[in-house]
Amino acid sequence: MIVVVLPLSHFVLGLFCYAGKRAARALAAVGWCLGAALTVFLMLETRDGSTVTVVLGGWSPGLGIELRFDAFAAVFFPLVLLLELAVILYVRKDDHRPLFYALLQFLLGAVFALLLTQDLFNTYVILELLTLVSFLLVGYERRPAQIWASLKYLVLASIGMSLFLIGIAVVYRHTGTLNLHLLADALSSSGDARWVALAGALLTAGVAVKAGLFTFSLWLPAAHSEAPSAISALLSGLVIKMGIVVFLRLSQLFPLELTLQVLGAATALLGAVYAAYAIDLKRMLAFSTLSQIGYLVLGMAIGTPAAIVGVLGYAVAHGLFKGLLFLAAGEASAVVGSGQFRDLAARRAEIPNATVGALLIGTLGIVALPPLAGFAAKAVLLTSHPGPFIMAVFALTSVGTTFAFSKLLPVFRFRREPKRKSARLAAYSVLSTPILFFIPLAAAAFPGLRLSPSAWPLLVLESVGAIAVGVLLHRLTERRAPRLPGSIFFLEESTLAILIGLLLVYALLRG
Amino acid sequence: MSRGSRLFHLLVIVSTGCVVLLVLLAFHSETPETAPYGTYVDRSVEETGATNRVAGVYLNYRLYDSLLEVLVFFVAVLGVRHYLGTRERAEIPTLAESEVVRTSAALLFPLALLLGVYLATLGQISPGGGFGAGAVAASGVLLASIALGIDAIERRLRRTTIERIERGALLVFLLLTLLPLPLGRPAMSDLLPKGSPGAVLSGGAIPLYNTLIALKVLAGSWLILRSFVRHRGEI
Amino acid sequence: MAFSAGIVLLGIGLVAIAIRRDLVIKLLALGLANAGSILCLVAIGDRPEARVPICAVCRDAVYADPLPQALVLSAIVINFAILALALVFVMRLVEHYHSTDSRRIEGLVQRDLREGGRS
Repeated sequence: MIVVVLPLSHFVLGLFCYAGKRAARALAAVGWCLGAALTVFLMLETRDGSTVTVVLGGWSPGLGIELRFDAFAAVFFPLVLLLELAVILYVRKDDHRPLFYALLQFLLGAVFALLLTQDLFNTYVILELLTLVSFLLVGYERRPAQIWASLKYLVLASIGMSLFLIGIAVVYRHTGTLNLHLLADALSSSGDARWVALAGALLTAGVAVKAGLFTFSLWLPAAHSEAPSAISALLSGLVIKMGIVVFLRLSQLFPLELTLQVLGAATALLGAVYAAYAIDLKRMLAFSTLSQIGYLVLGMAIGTPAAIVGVLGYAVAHGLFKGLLFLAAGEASAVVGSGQFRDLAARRAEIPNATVGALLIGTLGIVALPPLAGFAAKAVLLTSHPGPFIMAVFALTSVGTTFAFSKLLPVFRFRREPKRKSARLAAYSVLSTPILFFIPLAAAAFPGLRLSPSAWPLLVLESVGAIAVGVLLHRLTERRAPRLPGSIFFLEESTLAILIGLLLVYALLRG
Repeated sequence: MSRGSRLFHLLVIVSTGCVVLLVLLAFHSETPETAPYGTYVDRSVEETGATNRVAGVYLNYRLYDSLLEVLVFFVAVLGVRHYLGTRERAEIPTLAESEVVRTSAALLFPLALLLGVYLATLGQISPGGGFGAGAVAASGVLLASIALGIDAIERRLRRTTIERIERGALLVFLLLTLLPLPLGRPAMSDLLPKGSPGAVLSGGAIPLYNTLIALKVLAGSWLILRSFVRHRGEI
Repeated sequence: MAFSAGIVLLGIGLVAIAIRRDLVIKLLALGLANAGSILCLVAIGDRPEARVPICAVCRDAVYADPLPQALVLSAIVINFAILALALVFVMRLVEHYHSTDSRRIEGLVQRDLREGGRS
């Protein structure tokens, strides 16, 4: 029963935020403590692999809405808590209105609700709530570029959700239920009917718009780079992962392996290419998010339980270091006055040491330097027997990531007496610690994980090799930067991309 | 129109056409004549106490969805007010010069409120429900402000009061869903007596939820409407 | 039959979003597409000779499925909220750029970003 308190309490706290600015900050802290306490309790309850299930209203699962705290939730709740704490600490000194904190509480409540729900239509409503709250937070500072980016996001997300709704209609027409577990039974016995592929295509296309996949999420670079930095950290670190969670649930209903392979590969490579040639730090981080989501989706395509563990681990790790990177990038850009790489490098003396340190740790994490978080999670993925195609894309993406982040190398200089001190040290340390100590922390929280010791040397070699190749390539091609087509990110083209993507997914599901 | 954009238009129309055809063909293939009944049939009147089965579904079995949706509406109201900006004009002139408009608007206002009350309180035995009730009542208030001028209406119906009603209704809704927990019952379960089907006092907590939703939607819609009117500068 | 109409409405809405450049038309088209998807969902609950699912003693009668109607209530409110907010954002953009043409606004935004030092 405790399970339902988690999202609802955040909604209640969000309402009370209107009592005043100081009240809003205090409530944020209270909300975090409550969430942390409940999470610890639930994780202890399910330590032995069981799940905590409740059907709201006490009805049977087909009638009421079912909430369940299972392995997915147990993995993601700590990530939510860490990012929540980091963001609260980061914005502590900024003078935000109660609206900001209220929206933050609603966002967190919606995330908790999505991780717990086992009902298809409930997923739709929560995704729409997430869209609305993220959309408002992206445009929060009301600059025209932000308003335009969030408007594009809203229109495309709304189109995606309409497709999702029709998918729900098709599924319900044929199976009579909306509960995910009952649906899994019903769909496995329907076999090869054309409506199964149709429903799968519609639902997948709908979620893909929010999850960050290639033809569907062309709103992402603009929205994630224009948003205020704390919000970008939440969006790239957390909200995008919610799309991945829904994908994981959908992949238990429909045969999505081929679809995930194609979309994942396209997203990973496209994101890496655009990230490599971006000239603004936050935009590069946004493209890198696209690329890493492709990586995650490819991992899902492998399909084995070990691969799923790797995907979950990497989703958490990416949330941590992308969140850290966005927070640090925000402070660096604010101090220097511009987000472009050449300006950051030219005026790197003004960036506080703590910020540079945070950027460094985040970068080391994302390029998968052993033994940090990124390396550990990738190691699990690589040892779960991916096919040659997936391995090749993994390797290319790793090299591409390093290539893109090599642009930050000139910034990594520490000064003995910095010009100014960072006000956000607490926020950075909240996220840096789990990145640095990921392996011991994960082993303590999930004692079931084990990695064969014979694979370690090869994995270390692979990671370091990818990093070396990436840096080398960057040095060699530093002078030449091609112009990449930017028009695919316009609203009209993105709409066409969604349509074509839907047809593509249907074709992949049928054959 | 340039050749590039003509090609783009063609591509859009062709792909949309493919999608439409695809959905229609795939949907109608292998579809059984009658859909399997969902699991809601037959027992819903005994279990919820409401003869309106739709109300039974969205205010009892799937109350959580309605809660989230009211929250979406609340966030929308917050968003409209924040992003419309604070440039509110103090004195809003009324455009409706005609006597006919003013009189008929003044006549319709109490009717709209009455209709709102009817829809909200009898939502469990006839079509209706909180959302429609709130929307109708808010339209009524807007009609009154067309008739009497928005400044006169706002002197009686202050913005801060409306805000408190809105947040209060949502808070009571949230707390009501959590109330069964300390009493040992599952969250969002119905604690009130079901009554006899078809009576006015039936359906357990459904009339209560309907009223709360109606208040929330009325307050929220009126806040949106007055923001637009104040931003625009005339009504 | 109604389901097909809903899909066609969705199609028309999507085409309009992609082809027409005026932002207000795009929002109207989005509303149309959403209405189409809602129509699809309601049409699912239809049965031959069905009556309204509001009756006290009609245990053996055939009535329309109440679940899709309940789902649609949520969907309508959500779509209304999205349209309202999108409209407000369009108003802010128009106030700033004095144009409702999406291509023009995209160009102006890019120009502002370049001058402000981003891309």
